[in-house]
Amino acid sequence: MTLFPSKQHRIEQALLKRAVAGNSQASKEVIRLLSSPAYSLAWKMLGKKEDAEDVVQEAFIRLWKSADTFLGKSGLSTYFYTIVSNLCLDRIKSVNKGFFEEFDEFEHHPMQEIEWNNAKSFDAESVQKALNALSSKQRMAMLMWAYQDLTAEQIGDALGMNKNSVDQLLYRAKLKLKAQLEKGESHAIER
Amino acid sequence: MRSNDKMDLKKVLDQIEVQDSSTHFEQRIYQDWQRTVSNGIHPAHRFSNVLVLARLHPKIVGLIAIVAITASVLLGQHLLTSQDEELHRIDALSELSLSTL
Repeated sequence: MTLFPSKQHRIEQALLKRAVAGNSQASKEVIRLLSSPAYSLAWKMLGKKEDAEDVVQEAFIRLWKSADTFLGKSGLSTYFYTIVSNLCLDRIKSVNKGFFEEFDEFEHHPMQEIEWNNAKSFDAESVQKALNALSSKQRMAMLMWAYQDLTAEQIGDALGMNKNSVDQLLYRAKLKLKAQLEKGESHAIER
Repeated sequence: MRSNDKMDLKKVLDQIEVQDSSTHFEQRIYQDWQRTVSNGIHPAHRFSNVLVLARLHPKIVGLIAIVAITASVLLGQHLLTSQDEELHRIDALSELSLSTL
């Protein structure tokens, strides 16, 4: 986020303004730019095609309604992904509230840098399994951190946690993901 | 270090194969968008384009307001003083005409 909109952000702001005013070319351009990565993010958060599509459709309506408040201080995609994440969060909370709250992280561990050796060597299935092994909160926080460039404070605002808890949540999520991936790898070698 | 951590994590997460969205998904969003634009309370209707611009440029709006207020004060003052001067002139002329009589 910057105090003044950059040139790229001003272009995006103008594009959104035209789309909201009913310009069909601009509307198509906004949808083309945002829909696919937003769907991908929602799918990774929710794990179901129908849910991800519903969330993205709803997010576009919210974008249209809140277009006045987009002042170009962040990128349009960042702004839109925040809407998508919040809707995913609402959905997870409404569907499985107990599960979401059960995994609040209270323990504090000294945090160290996590080494992702051979980051590209894991297969898609084991990454998916490892991600599914995380709690909803861990998964949300990790995806928001990795894909939206949100700070721990901003993630905390969205998840209703303080910065330190988010740091711990992220750290434990990364540790767990890594452990799951390594476990999957050793099973594969045994076989 | 932290940004490397993030990049590596992204590389891992990018390997997840996301299930394809439905065919015509974008088309559906577009239709939804068009419906919302035509049915809803349009932001451009709520605030005219001028007002939208005004909200985006509050400093310029402030400047214009100050200039307008100053100009109207000056104009008012000018009108009042010119009225007084006119009255004085009429008085002077009438006195002059009386004295010549």
